[in-house]
Amino acid sequence: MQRDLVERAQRGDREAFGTIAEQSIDHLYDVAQLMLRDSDLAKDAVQEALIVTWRDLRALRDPDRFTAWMHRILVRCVYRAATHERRQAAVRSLDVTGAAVLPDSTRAVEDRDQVDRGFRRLKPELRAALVVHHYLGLTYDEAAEVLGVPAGTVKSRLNRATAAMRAELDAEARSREPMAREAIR
Amino acid sequence: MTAPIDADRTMLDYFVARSTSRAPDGLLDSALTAIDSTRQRPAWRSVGWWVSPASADQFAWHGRRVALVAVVGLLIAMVAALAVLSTSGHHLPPPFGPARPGSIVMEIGGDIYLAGPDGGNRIKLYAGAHWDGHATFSPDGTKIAFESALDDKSTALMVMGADGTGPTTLISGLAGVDDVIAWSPDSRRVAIGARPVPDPGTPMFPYSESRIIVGDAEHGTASFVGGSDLFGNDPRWSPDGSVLVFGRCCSGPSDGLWSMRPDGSDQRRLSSVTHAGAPAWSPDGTQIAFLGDGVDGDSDLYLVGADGSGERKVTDDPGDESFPVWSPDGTKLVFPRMLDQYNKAELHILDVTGGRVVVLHGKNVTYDQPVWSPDGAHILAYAYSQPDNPQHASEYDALAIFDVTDRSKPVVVQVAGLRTASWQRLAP
Repeated sequence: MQRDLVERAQRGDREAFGTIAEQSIDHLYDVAQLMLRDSDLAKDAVQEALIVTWRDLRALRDPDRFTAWMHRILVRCVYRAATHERRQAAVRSLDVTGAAVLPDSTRAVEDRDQVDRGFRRLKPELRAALVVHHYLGLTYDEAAEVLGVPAGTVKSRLNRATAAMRAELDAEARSREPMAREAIR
Repeated sequence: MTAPIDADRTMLDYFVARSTSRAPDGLLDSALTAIDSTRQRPAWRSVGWWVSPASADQFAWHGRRVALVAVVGLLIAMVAALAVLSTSGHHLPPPFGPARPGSIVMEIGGDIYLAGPDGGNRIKLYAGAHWDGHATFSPDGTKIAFESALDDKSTALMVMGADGTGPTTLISGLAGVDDVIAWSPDSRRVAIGARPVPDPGTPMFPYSESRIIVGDAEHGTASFVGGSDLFGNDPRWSPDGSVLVFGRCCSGPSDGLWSMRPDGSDQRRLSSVTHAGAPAWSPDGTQIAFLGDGVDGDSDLYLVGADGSGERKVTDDPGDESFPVWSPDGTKLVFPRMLDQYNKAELHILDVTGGRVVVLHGKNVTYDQPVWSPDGAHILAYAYSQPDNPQHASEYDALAIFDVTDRSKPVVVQVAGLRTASWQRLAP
């Protein structure tokens, strides 16, 4: 993100912030929907994150830290949206509209479905840790800054999330083996 | 046995497959529209300006939990405080209307004593260098106003706590002080009629007439109100505390019953009855009972509306009536009716709506202002222990406690040196 855009926006330049929003929104939405696995909630979280970013922008001391700062705001908004999701307790359809369609094998699709089931069962905090570490590629320290928790907490969340995912995939694999033996027979 | 899972590889593949290349249409527009109506906060209003980002996150993340804990703690504290107050009896009664009877404060032998509701178990509360008296409980039962004689023979108006603590002089250098100190309904102010002691060498009486003093019991101050040419006595507060009614005497055309704001403004004459005095507001604030001259020169009881309308004479007999007092429920008036030249009197109770008068048994009370108990069940009056001995006629020395409900003879409690009494009001 260009530093001068951030500085202009900090001085109240709405046009500059519009440019920032335009450049950021695809990425913000991508991250939010990965964490939330719900397009409506992701849209709510992104819109709120942009509003909060604009509202509190003058409190950002170092414009070079803007991206990490905005990610932190987005994560908080995702948590809030996830809370809303839990309260609604409604069955939402997974919106995959706009998802990248990649060449894929049947087995790979099955694996991702298993991962998806496991991922959806995780708490929002664990999902967020997985996204910022594995997808955004942030180090523990960088993830800690974005998630607003100590680096040690990031590690423990990743461990818990990975263990939960591994257990899910193991269970799926075990359930497939008898079916395969049955098919061979 | 399943093969080990490469978590990094698996998750990355999963996220890449589920990622999106662009946000839904309209999201940017709706966000920018919302931003257009959002003002930027000054930097200092954000937590992040004051603390590190990590601390700010911790603060924001735990803020709701902390607020919830604070609210719950506050509620618990409030409930505990209410429980303590309700059990300690420190909650206050309403400013007027029936209340629970508490202690009785008395002037005995020039000092101030506190007694139980039956007049017994007396303890000395205050004893100045000279005479102290006319002690009067505030409507909320927490303070006592009284008069105290000073070395220069002037009188001071003072207040203290109901337990005798913190005596404070509101004003001193007074003479000709009224017998009754009037508390405002909110128990914060007092009013009384008195005249300032003139400079040495100048005659005190009759050149210095009684004027109205309003004192602030909270801040320990008092001053004359209404200007130097406003003479009057017996000020009494309206139940809402917005008006003082008082009598003006002996000054010719301006004689009568008057009202004014507590700061002395908005003076109005409510009645032109001569020698008007001893006014008493009904608890609902609609009527004022007062004494004034009768046709044959005696003192009769009058009623007038708070705005001066509907004046009527309630008693019209040859004898003198004295200080009227409303029952706490506002349905009755009690007043002493004088019987002979020795200041002996009997108590009459007037049903204000029906007009019926009941005479209480016992003809040895004085003409001093009686005291209706806060619950309306009893009336205190002062009695002579030797009513038929002219030599002792001016020395009453007993407290007569009348039971209003059965109108039997009063219980008489001998209290040598007794002068005045006031009954503490407590929350029901």
